[in-house]
Amino acid sequence: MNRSFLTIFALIISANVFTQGVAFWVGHTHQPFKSISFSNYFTDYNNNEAFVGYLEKPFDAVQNNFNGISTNMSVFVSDGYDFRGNNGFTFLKSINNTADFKNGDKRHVDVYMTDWNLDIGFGFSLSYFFFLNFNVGMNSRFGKALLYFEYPDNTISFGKEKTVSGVYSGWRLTGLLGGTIGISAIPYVQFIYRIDYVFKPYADLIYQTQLVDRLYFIENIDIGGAGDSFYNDFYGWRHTFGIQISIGQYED
Amino acid sequence: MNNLTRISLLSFIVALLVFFCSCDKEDQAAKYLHNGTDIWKVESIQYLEYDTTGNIISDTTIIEPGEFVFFQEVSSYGADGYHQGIFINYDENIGYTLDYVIDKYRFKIIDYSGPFGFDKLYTITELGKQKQEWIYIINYNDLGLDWEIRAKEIVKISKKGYN
Repeated sequence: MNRSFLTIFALIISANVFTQGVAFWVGHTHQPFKSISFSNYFTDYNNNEAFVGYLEKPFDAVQNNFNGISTNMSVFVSDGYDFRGNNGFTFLKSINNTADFKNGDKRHVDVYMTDWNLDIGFGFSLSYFFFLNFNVGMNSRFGKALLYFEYPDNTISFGKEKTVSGVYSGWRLTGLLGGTIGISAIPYVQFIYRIDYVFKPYADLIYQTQLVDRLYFIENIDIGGAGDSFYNDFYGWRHTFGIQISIGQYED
Repeated sequence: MNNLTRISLLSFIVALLVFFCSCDKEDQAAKYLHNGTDIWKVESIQYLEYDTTGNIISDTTIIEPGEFVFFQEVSSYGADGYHQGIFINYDENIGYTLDYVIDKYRFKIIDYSGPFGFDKLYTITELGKQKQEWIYIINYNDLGLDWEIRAKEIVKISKKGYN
């Protein structure tokens, strides 16, 4: 792991020596919530015999979204052609999904994702007015899922009195493929739109519960993972709108 | 190395530091407990019981029953993140050894023979360097459903000497 970081670091340093400029952008990121294991969990929860008739509002089993912010730093050369080395981070949070019971209880599910995106972009540019890149690279994703119960007096509990409650976390490495468009009317500041397809990981890496030793699930719900786990299987399209500041010399 | 290179490198390093610091919340919460004097007074323990309709049928509070000493040293369960600790019971003037582990959301205690009970998982409702509040809920219905009799324990602790 350390060797990988050093290699990446060295590559960026050496690439940077030959670059023409550096660009920073920050933006809003949106990713549709796509996870087979979590969708299975929501569906099974809604259809669980123990809850049928007691649920006032079931989980939203299909529609859910991640929203958050992204930051990125690029080193680039741009002279008709356009080449960028991108290093960025994305911080995402799912919309809180709940199953509400008629007696006032609620089951909550919150999911947080922190992505490290390391990729290269290649394409063409028109001075500082416009650039279009196709991106290919890696996505390193740390995920955290919070499953907790809320009682009618608004007490929040992660405790073992509800067996599936817990803090599940996991990491996975996968690829990303996408593109970036930058448009500007003035030098050094550009509006950008970036789209990435974050691939489903090849290996079924999972979220593991921390702190709590669970032997079984009395809610009897298929949560799509082995034992006390969810698969870290979020994937799909990720969209970012942002603003970029470039420092360096563009070729006219 | 030109200025542009320096800016790029600095930004990259800062970004990496931010990223990895944000992944270390568990250790941060443990530091709250064992930093400084590492002695925490238990201000109160409140026991509440609810009937099946959610009405409170019992409410008992014990004021200042004792104090915790949270050590940084890992326990025999160190591989799972546990640290050593002691609960000193004022009435009995006895110290009970315990193991604890904490993250941003939960505090788990293995109190082998003391009053906190073996293997209890609290939800942290206030996580501070000077004050903390933990809640433990147990349902008497083992089916884990929502209309059973419920008991709630609220523990309030503060750094000793802090009011």
